[in-house]
Amino acid sequence: MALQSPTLISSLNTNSGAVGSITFSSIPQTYTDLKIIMSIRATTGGGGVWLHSTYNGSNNAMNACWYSSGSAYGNANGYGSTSNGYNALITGAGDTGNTFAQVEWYIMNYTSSNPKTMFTDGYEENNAAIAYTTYGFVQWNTSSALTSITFTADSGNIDQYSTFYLYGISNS
Amino acid sequence: MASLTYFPIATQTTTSTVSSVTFSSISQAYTDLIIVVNNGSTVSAQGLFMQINGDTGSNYSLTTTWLNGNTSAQGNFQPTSTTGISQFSGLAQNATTIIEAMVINLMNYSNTTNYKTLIQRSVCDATLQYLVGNWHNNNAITSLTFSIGSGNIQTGSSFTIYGIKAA
Repeated sequence: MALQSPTLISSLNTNSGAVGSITFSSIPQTYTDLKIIMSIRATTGGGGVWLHSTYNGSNNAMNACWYSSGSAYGNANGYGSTSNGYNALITGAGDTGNTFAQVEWYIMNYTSSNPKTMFTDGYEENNAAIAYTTYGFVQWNTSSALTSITFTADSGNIDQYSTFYLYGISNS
Repeated sequence: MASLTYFPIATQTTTSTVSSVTFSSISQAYTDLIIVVNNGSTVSAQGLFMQINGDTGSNYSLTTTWLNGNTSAQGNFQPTSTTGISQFSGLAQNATTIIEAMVINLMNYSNTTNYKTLIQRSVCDATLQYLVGNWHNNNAITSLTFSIGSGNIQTGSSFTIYGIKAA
């Protein structure tokens, strides 16, 4: 019988206070794909703070995204030593209080020995004129299975009351 | 509240290089389809090409915009009459490994009164792409065929169709 997907694997939050990073570790290797949904805010910055990600403790190989708001749009990309930079724009301290960005990751074939490609969506919430939407991708070029993912904010910490949910998706 | 549930309908992983992958007799029991592809090609700079119900005529249209992760080059194209739904593939990189990725949302695929619309998000040759496509046909979708513009689909490529129910 086919598994019901997505299946919740793990949930994390920062209800106790701001933290420097969030890590899903010891990710089970029993699913086909992974989906991560988060509600997140940074303690500094504003008008869009870049969310970074690392995989098994290492940078991704390449990323790119489009971003747009009511008054600005463009794109960003990175690779090599700067490759962990441009994943999604999230809400920062300069944005309206108590607003959080909605961010989603979709990671394909995370247990395979092939390079891992994932899609990243970010929706900065600001309750004001400028709030960025980002659509992007990340490639992590390694033959290792993905066992941990860490998220950090470009500046400052991940603010209190951010939430993170990791789901597994099975193709059978 | 009903939760968004992915029901696996069919999956194929290529065990050798092949010219095409076809899903036939697709179940009509769902509202929408989500197709997840993780593939490579035997020739770099070649995008995936999808045809519906074996229709090889000029009965498709699409609009796409693309952004390269390595060079930041970007662009768009929007052919109004094509023989399938094709990825942009103009920026050559090493795509012969299984590194290409695609998620397709295919709405209302079983209805027999409307043309079929899809939203496709993909990465091909380090190029992020968003595409909106249309198949100019009212028939229910019962089969999907994937191929490569030139060369073959690489060994180890995976294709999965999930069904999504409205309620």
